[in-house]
This record gives sequence, structure tokens and C-alpha cells, in this order.
Amino acid sequence: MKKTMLGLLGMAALLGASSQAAAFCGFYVAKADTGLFNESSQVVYVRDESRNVVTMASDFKGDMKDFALVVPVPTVLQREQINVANNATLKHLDDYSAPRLVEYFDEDPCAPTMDMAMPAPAMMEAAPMRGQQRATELGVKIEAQYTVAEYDILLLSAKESGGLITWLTEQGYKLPPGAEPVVGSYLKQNMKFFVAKVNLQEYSKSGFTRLRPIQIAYNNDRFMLPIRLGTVNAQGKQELFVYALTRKGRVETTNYRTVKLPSDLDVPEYIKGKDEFASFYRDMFRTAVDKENGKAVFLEYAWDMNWCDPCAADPLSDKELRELGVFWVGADGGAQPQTRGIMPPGQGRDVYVTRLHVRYDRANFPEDLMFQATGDRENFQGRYIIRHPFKGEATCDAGKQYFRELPKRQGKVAETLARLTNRDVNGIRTKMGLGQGGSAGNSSGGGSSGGGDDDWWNSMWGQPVK
Amino acid sequence: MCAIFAQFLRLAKGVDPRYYQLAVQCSLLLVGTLTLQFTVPWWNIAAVLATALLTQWGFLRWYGLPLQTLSALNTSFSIIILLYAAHWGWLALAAAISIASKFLIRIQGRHVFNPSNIGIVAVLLATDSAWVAHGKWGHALWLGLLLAGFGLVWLLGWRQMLTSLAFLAAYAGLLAGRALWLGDPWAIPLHQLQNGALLIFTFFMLSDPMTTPQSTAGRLLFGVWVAVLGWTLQFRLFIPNAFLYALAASSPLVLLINGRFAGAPFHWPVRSQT
Repeated sequence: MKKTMLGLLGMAALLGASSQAAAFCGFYVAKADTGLFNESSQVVYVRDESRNVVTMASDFKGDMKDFALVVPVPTVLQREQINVANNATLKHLDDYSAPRLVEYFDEDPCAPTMDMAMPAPAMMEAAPMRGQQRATELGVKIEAQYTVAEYDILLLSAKESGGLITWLTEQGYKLPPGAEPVVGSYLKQNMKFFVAKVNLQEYSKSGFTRLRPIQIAYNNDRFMLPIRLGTVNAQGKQELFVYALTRKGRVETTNYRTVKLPSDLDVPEYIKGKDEFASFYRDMFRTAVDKENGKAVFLEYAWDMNWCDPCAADPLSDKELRELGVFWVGADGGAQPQTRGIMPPGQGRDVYVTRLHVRYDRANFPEDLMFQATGDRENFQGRYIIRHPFKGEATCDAGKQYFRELPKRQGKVAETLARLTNRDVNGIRTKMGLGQGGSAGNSSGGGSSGGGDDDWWNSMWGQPVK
Repeated sequence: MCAIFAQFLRLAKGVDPRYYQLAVQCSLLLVGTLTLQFTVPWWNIAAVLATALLTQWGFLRWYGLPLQTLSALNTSFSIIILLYAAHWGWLALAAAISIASKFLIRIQGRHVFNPSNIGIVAVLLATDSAWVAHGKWGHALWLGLLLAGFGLVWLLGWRQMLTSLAFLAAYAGLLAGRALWLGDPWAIPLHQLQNGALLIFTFFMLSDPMTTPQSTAGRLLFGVWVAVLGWTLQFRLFIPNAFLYALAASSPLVLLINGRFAGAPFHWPVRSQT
């Protein structure tokens, strides 16, 4: 039997796969850990009124013949309703909305001037069928079949889940135990199944080294992503990123809490080091998930697509947005690249992006994700700040004060990081070059040492009397 | 914990239940702000309270009635904890519509619509800039909300709260029936029932004795009807905020139900005077 990776995504996606199935929106058959969040799925969900365009991507790295995607969809899709997008476009959206590390350099305290924020590197990555007769026997109807780019696609309906499961199994899709009632539930809700696998001939002709995201467009009142198929295996938690693009404003889940990630917080300088930010972010996200008992959806970014500040990547062009399904912009096909940096909002495109990150499992996310677009256009981004201390000489009163208070500030940064990531505060202090008890390792410029809140007397009399 | 709550209820017995409702509403706002990341700016609260109280004062003065503020406060806090808007003006409009509806939309001496319900629904229909954040309550508060809801049952009596109880029972039955039909695990209907917004609606909006039927049979019928309509809007037509719309659309039926099932009109036990 062909290996099947089974990915289930909202529209009810299921990936067919090897001896075990992996959910589209999250769980992946184990592969080498290369991304920030391995085995993750990404979905771009464009929604306006009852129009939906959903782009589904996963970091599948296995043998292409093992790939399969099974997604419940609300209707039989026509060929024109199915497309593929470029990985680069999705990567651009990921980069644009990724949580970011920024850094500031403390000015000479004796010559105070304006602060300028400089973006540090953002955390880029969140890292023709046979058997028609047999299908009929099993009560399965092949409603349509297409070859779209490198994918062979089937749209299936069925009288009952058992027949559909049997047929899929016979066709080489190994669905996980426990999938049948979930498939049955979707069928009773009049949903069809969208099944895609790789057409190896077309794939080799395409010249791509990675599978491209599959896109579907349809009319439906339900603003939802089916995730239940992805949880039937119960092999741990799934990782899903949803980029919602709407005209209105921020998107949130209506049947689960949507929680803002901790943001705008100072972190130590060493977080800029290689892999440190990724490690910090993973730990912080895990801590945030634990704090919510694994039951929340996290908001990582909410912004008007016209601008950004600071920009981890430029806003997407009209051409890229249209490729992702934002049908109401740039009908003339103009590219209109945006300028990096602070731009005034409210100009041009009416596109608001919401980036949601959810780590889900069957116990905590029994239902599919239901969404609504709100009227909230307030900006939010995951932003973490490094403030580099002033390294020069500063002998004026303000300078002395600055160096007296610096260890205390750094001590607070260590405590913040410990709280956010559940790491040991003493280990953090050591990496920061601070003493265990709150004294600074160094403070050029002649400031006194002492960092914790208990050292309140340090700033009382100024420099020790000589 | 339960003993303290029971003691509180004993002390509260005899006091106007609107004080109890106000205490629960303020507690929800406080708990939400402290633990659930509610972001309710103070000017939103001020706008709703000021608009509601001013509108109430204006109409009472116009009709030459003594000033009463308790119901207006209940209405205001319902709006504050349920409705969000991009601009405080929409919240103020909801408050104004809510209070005005009590005075302007009256038939047979009774106001037709649940005040906060019609205010919220009118603003939801009028603009994309306002929304109800159903998910924001999460599912950790459900037991506390259920307890607080049954506290109101204790204070008002089960007959008076029959609309809420019938709604909850019927809605739970419909959710369970749907799960059975679909072959879904019980975790799904339970998760749907534990939604904080649903429980707040059930016990602290739908319970308004001034706008629900006067008879026991009428309340039973009305509660079940709102559940059936709300469920249909939610799961057949996929309309968000379904139970809010269901109550607004059903409120005029109370007149018909009262015509068929006679009962005594309700009056609050204490009329606050200021």
C-alpha cells in the first residue's frame, strides 16, 4: 500500500500518508527538525461576505508519492475554483507578519537625543482515478476529477462514511483509526471531500523542489476551518498558522478564546544570537499555551496591509494578494510594491491581515475552528525589544544615574524573560553577565553595581563617599 | 466557596434581584479584565453609563415619572460586557436605543423588547464596526456562571426564571440531538454549552421578567422557541450571534403568548429612588 500522510485541515483537510496519517494543519509525520515549528500547517483564509478563498500549505518533506491531502469542502468545486500558489508568496506573508525582534541602542545619557528603532532580523519561519465501479459499489461518487498543476484532485461524495473510508483505503490512503465518525459527521453536514495527491509526472515537469500550496475558492456562509480530522490520531499536538485576510478588521475565533501573545517586552541582548530568538519564541509560545491550559488561539499579528512598523518584510503587493485570493484588490494586475518602513495607514488597499497561531489537540479543541471578522482595526504585533546599554564614558550626573540604574533594568529584563519562557532566572542572569544576586558583571562608565529591587539604597546617596 | 455563596444568597434574598445582577455583571467585568485579557477602555464604560442614565433620566422626566436607575445600570453593564465596537459612539448608540426602546416601543403597557438585547442587535445590524466576542469568555468560567445563574433562580424563583431554564434545557437538547445525529463525541455539545456568552445570555438577558411571558406555560413555550430559533440560525443558516437575534425576533411573540396564556404582570420588588 502506498504510504499516506494524512493531513486534515479545516475545510477538512486530510493528508494521506505513510503508515500513519498526519494532519494537514499540524501534525506531520516525523521529519528532520528544520523549521521553527516543525510539522506545521499554514492556511491563508481570505474572507469577504460569503466568499472564501483558502490556501493550504504544509512543510511536507517526504517522498512526493506519499503526499495526500483530504479536506472536507462545502460544495463540489469546479476546475476554475482550484489553483496553486507560489511558496514564495506565502513565505512573504509569513515574513511580513512574523513576530519580530527589534533593537534599540541607548544613547549617551549625557547627551540625550531621540531613540531610533531598528528592526533586527525577524523570526522568519514560524517557522484520473481508477475504481469508478468500485466507488459506486461502496456508495462513493466521484463528483469531479482534475489535474491542477502538480496535483491530481478528486471531489468525492458518499452515502456513508464506511464506504468512503473503504474506498480511500483501497486507493492507498491510509486513514487513521477513529477517522470514520469524523468523516461521517462531515458527510451528514452535506460536505464533500477534496482529495489531492501529487501527479509525479507533472511535478517533475514543474521544476519545483517543494509542493506548492493548494487553493480553493467557494461561496459559503460558514467561516470555519475543519481541524477535527487532524486530531483523530491523538499523536500529540498540531501546529497551525492561519493568516486571515479581510476587508473589515481583526479575525478571531468564536468558539475558542483568542488571546494576544505577550508583546512589546524587553529581552536580553543575547537573544540576538544565533538561534536564540527562535528558541526564545518557541519557549515563550509553549509557556503561553500552558498558561491558557492549551485551550486558546493566539494572536501574533493584526495589521492593515498597507504598511508596517517596524517591517519584518515589505507589505505584500497587489499581485501577491490577488494570488492569495484577495479578489477585491488590484484587478488591473498592478504590482505596486510597497515601501519598507513606516507608512501612513488608510491608503490604497482595503486589506487587513490577522495572523493566528494555534497548537491544538483533540482534548482541548474538540470542535472545528469557527471565526468572525470584527470591526477592530487596532494594530498588534509580536514584538520583542533589545535595548543595548550605552558603552561609552558618561561622567555627568545623568550618566552616573544611568549606570546606577542599568543593573536594575537588566535584572528586570532577566525576570521578564524567565516569566515568559519559564526558564531559570539565574541561568538567564548568567548568560547576561549579571551576578546571581543581582549585581552587574560590568558597567562601563563607573556606575555602581547592584541590580535587584532590594538594592533600593543604591540610588539614594549617589556615588559612595571616598 | 459554595458556603460563602449560599450565605451571600441568603442575605440577598429579599433584596431587589437587580442588585444581584449588577454584582454579577461587575464581577464578570473585573474577572475578565484581570484574568481574560478583556480590553474595555474606561471611556467605553463611561459612554455607555452616561448615555443610558441620561436617556433614562430624559424619558422619565418627559413622562413625569420618578427617577430610577437600577434597570438602566443592568442594561448598561449587559452592553459593556457583551458588545465591542471600534468606536465608543456605537456603544453609546446601543445604550440609547436600549433605554429608548423601553419608553417608545410599548404595547399594552409593556415594553416589547429586552432593552440591552435590542440595543445590541440594532447596532450589530447597523454597522460592521461592532461585534460580540463570543469566544472571549473561554470555557473556564462556565461553572461559576452556572452557579451565578442559579443564584438568580434562587432569588427570583424557578417560575420567574422558567424562560431561561427552558431555553437552556431545550438548547442543550438540540445540541445533544445534533451530536447524536452526526455521531459526534459528547465533548462537542458540552464545549458548545460551556460558552460563557451563551450562559450570560441565558441567565442575565433572557431572564428579564419584564419582557418575557407572564404565565408559566408561556415562559416555557417562549424559552423553547428562542432555543429552537437560535439553534436554527446558528447551525442551519450559520449566522453568528444567533441567540441574540433569536430573542430580538421573538420578543413580539410575547404579546401573543400573553394573550393565549394569561398571567400576572411582573413588577420589580424594589423601585430605586434617587
